[in-house]
Amino acid sequence: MATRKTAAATKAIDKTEARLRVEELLHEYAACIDDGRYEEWPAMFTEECRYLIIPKESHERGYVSGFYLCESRGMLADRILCLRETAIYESQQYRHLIGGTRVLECNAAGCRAETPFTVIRTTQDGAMSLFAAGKYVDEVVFESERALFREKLVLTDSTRIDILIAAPL
Amino acid sequence: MITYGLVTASARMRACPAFTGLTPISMLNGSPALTWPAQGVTRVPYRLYDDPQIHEREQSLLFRGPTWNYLGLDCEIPQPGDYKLNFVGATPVILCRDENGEVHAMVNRCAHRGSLVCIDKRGNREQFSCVYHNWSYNLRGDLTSVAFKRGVRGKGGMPADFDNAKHGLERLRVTSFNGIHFGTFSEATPPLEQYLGPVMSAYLKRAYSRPMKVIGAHSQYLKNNWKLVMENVRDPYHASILHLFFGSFGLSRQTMKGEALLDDSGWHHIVYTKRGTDDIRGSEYEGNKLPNMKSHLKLNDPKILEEWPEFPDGITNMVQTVFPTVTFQQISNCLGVRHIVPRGPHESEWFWTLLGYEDDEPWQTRIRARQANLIGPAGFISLEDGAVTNFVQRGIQGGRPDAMAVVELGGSSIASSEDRVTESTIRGFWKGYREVMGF
Repeated sequence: MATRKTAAATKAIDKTEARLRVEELLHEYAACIDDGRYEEWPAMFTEECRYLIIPKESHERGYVSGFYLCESRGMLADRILCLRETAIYESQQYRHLIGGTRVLECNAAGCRAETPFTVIRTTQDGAMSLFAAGKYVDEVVFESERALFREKLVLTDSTRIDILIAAPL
Repeated sequence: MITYGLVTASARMRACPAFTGLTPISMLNGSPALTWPAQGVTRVPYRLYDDPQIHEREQSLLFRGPTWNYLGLDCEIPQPGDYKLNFVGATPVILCRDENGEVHAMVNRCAHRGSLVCIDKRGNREQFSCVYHNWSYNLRGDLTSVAFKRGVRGKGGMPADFDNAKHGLERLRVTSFNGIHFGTFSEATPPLEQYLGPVMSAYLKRAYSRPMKVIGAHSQYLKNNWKLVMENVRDPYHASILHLFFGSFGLSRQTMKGEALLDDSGWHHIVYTKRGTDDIRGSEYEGNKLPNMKSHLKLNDPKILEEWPEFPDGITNMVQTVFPTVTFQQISNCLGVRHIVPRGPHESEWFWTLLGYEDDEPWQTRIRARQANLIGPAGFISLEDGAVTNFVQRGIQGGRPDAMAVVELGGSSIASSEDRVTESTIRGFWKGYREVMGF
């Protein structure tokens, strides 16, 4: 199949390669949370970063407050510290299902991409529910061998949360 | 005249079963009468959190009774035609602003066959038209047109004497207090400032004296009765115990200056604390003696605790409720309204509206947004609330019919105090509840 030459294709990284790197990062991200390896989660972000879980509707209305807002790797680590040490909630398990990633723009330094996700939550009594659905809007930087999130917006389709959000989405 | 709090005896009688033609509680089919325990409001029958019959009674006696119910804020409906949907108890209502800027509230239920006349939860309209048969209402709830009213080619149509004026949307009385709108179905509800009393009014004015803006809005669906939520927000006992974050990072301790305040009726409450006012030496907090304090913990990035002194009174945490269902909060600079809506006897939905002032500088908005990490369904100091109220709902299942909660911290008083080692604020809620429900 003939590939149309674009400006992006002439750069050091093309959209397909960017997509593969984002997908790899997202899959590791999801596995890290679903496996409960929360302490590894902040390292998937740049030191200065922005992680926001907010309803899509709120985001579109220009609201700034959602459920989680972290503006540094340290704030991400504090979320995990509190999840482990101070938060009280019933033990639960997430299972992320990550959909197809669309790279919106990319260059050698990084890219912006959107990826739909769902999270199934299982509580200790065995009850399972579709806990969250939405899309990730990610700004990813490529640092040598690693890809890291510089910004991760977790836009939830619902404005309503079932009881509480403990672990990150 | 006998008075029950601020509601006159006659108002109360109108709200009581015997005076409204409703079935007295003792005669409800299949449901044994609820007799309040002899100990009064230091005991709360678990049945109140669980019984569908009681949930039904609340709709008629409490939510349609002599209570002011939270509807929304000025800043949510700033322009003519702006509206917002809400609920008073189970009843769907529309809060809207008419062409002249007046605020109205009416039941979101077509006078024809009962359909919702408005589906989108907020927006701007010139009128409300029912999609089912196109009955249309103006922004005051008056019926303005009926499709095929005179029939088609002279056939059919409504009777000649059908009077639009008698078929408007059911209206609520609305009162506005510093940009906060409340509604009531009852003619007996006293004026809002009288309902609140001087202390509650003054504290509400404190934060709501300048134009506000919404910076966040979402809800939390809880698997428990709504009253467990109102008890929780009125409960200063649990704050530094359940919420380990509070205690561990020294944000709220019983040793700090503060007060638990009730109005004269006991219906409404405020609990506030002033951080940086205590000395824990010689107290229960000294030397990590409390098992739940993890004062060794250190935040990696304490930006979340950045704040600025916003109010001259030095209050850093404040929770204020207006009976029956709304909470106004200030956690440092994180301002907001929480409104609990019953969704049947066993479930409820908690609507959070996070606020700033219209003239906030960008850095102030940023600090408010960061502090919002503390509250809501993922909040460092509120995530546990949704968990624990659900634990109560599950814990009370299958109990003896006369099983009840013990609410005796601070004795049996329903009075303000400087210490917050008290449940007087919860007892005040139940005092109001009993008066309105006739228990």
